[in-house]
Amino acid sequence: MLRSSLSSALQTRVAALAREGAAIVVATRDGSLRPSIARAWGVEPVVGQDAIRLCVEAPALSQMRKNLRPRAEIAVTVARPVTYRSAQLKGVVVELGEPTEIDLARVDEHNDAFSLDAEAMGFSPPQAARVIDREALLSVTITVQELFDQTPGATAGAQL
Amino acid sequence: MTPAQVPLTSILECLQGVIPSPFATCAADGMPNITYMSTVQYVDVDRVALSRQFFRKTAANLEENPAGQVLVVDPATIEQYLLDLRYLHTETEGPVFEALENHLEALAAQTGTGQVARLRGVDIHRVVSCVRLRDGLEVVRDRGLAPDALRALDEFVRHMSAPDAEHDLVGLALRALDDVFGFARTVFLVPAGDKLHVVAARGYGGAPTTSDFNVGDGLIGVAAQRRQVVCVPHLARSQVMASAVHDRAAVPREGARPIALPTTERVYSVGAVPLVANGVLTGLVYLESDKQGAFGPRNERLLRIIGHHLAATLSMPAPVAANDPRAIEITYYRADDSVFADGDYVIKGAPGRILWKLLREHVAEGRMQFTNRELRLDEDLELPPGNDNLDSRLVALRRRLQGGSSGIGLERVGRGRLALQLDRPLALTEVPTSGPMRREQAWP
Repeated sequence: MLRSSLSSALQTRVAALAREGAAIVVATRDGSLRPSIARAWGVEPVVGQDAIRLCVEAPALSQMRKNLRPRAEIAVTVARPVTYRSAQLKGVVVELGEPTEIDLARVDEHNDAFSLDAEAMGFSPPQAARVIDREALLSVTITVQELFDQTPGATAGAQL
Repeated sequence: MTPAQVPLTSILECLQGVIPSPFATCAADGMPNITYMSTVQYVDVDRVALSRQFFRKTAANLEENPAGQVLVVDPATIEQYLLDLRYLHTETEGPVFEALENHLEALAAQTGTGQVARLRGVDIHRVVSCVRLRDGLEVVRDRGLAPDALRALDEFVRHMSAPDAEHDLVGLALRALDDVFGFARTVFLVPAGDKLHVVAARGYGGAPTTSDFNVGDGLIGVAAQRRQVVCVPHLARSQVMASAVHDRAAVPREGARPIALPTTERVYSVGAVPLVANGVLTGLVYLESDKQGAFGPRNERLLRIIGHHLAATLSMPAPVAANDPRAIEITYYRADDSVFADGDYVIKGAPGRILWKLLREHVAEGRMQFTNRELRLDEDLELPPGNDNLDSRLVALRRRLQGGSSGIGLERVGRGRLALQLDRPLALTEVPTSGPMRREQAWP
C-alpha cells in the first residue's frame, strides 16, 4: 500500500470507527510468542506519518506492560460493538510513555462514544463506564505496516 | 500481584457467543493477530471450543504456534476475563461440534445467514490460565442469583404429577414453567408434517403473532429438526453479529430473510426446547423473555431435563382407567367412523374421525387446543384434498356436541383454533374393522 493511501485509510477507517464508539483491542506477544490482549482507547493518526497514537490498558506487572517496548510487534483491532464493522492494523511500537492531557481528553471522548454504543447493545451506563481501566493507561505510538478489513465474514482479513 | 485463577465453571455466562470475543494468536515471525470469535464454548473444566468459520490467518498461526489468548465478557455484568489457551486439535464432528453447530445454525437460520456462517470446525483449546481483568473490583450484577435448580425441578415435576382437574396437561405445563421458573412467555407447538403449529400459549395477552413454523427454518424450526435445545441469551447482539457477517457475504437477499418469532413484543432472550419421546418429536416449547441472558448456558441443561420430562409426561396415557366410574366412555367404530359417548350415538363419518382424533390426542398428550390447519393436513382424517369442507364439518360437529349430553364440547377460541371442553375424564375404546364399510363411508 502506498504511504499516502495508508495514512488516508488510518484517518477514514481507524480514527473514524473510533470516533463512532468502536472498541479497540491490542495484542502483543512475549519472547515465547505467547500473545497478550488488552483494551485501548483514544486512537489518533499521527499527522504526516503512517502511524497512530493510542492509550493501552497495561497495568504495572501485567504481561502487556512487559511486552510493550520499542520495536515490539503489535496488532490493533478497531470494531464497533453495534455493527462489528472493524479494521485491524499491524505494526511496531515506536514510542511509549505516560498519557498526556491531550491523550486523556481523547480517551474520554472515545469512551463516551463507546458507552453510547454499549448502551445501544443493552448495557447500563455504569456498566459501560466500567470497561475502561484509566489507572493502567500507557501512551503508545505505533508505526503501521499493514491495515486489514476485519469485519466478520468471508472477506475478513482483506488488505485495505 | 498475580491475579487469582478463576474456574471456568464460574464464567459460563461468558462462554456462549453473546459478545464476540477478541482472540489473539501469534505467527512464527512474531507478529500477533486478532480476530473476533463469535463463540467461545465451554467443553469441560479445562477446555473450551472456538468456532472455526472465516479465520484463515488464525488457523495458519495456530498451526505454527498453538498459543492464544482470548478476552471474554460476562454479558450481564460486563466483567472481563482473559483466558490463555493452547490449541489442541480441530473437530469436524462429534458432540462439541454438533452443539456449536446447532447454536450457530439456529441463529443463522433465524437471521437468514445460513449459507454464510457455516461452521467449518471447532478448535479445541486447553485453558492454561483464566483470570479476571481488574481483579478485586466489585462485580455489579444486573440480575439476581440463579434459583436452586434442583429444588425448582422438584417442584416442577410435582406440579406435573398433580391431579389434572382441567384435563389440560399442556396448559398445566406452561403454568408450571411460569410459576416455578418464571418463564412467563411460553408457546407450545406440535409437529404436523413439515410444520409446527402453535396449540397453546401463555403470557402474550392474546394469541402469538405467528402460528406456523417450518421445520428447519429459524430458531424454532432448527431446534425441532435437530431435536436439540437452542438458547440465545442475547438475541439482539447475536443478530448484530449475524448481520455484520451477512452484509459482507455474497448471498442473495431473498436467502437472508429473518424468520419471524412468535411475538413482536420486546424480546431479548429466547429458548426452544424440543420434546422427544421414543426418538419421535412430539412437541416443542418456545420460551422468550424481555430480560437479557434469561436463556443460556446456565439453564440449557435444565431446559433439556424439562423437555425430557414434559415429553415423557405428555406421551403417557391419561390416568383414567376404563373402569373409572367418572369417565365418559367413548367408543369409536372404524367401520363407519361413528362415535358413541356412554353408549349414546354422537356422530359418524368425517366429523366422527375428527372427534376421535381430538379425543385420542387429548388422552395421549393432554391436549385441549387444536388448529384447523393441523386437522386439514392430517392425512389420517382422509379429508378430500382441495375441497375438504373442514369448516362445515366442524360446524356440524360443534352443533351435535352442543345439542347432546355427552359431556363433550368443542368451541372456537380464536381464528382457526378449537378447544375441547370435557365435563369428565375419558375412557376410549376403538372397535376395528376389516370389512368393506370403511371405504364406502370414507368421504361422506
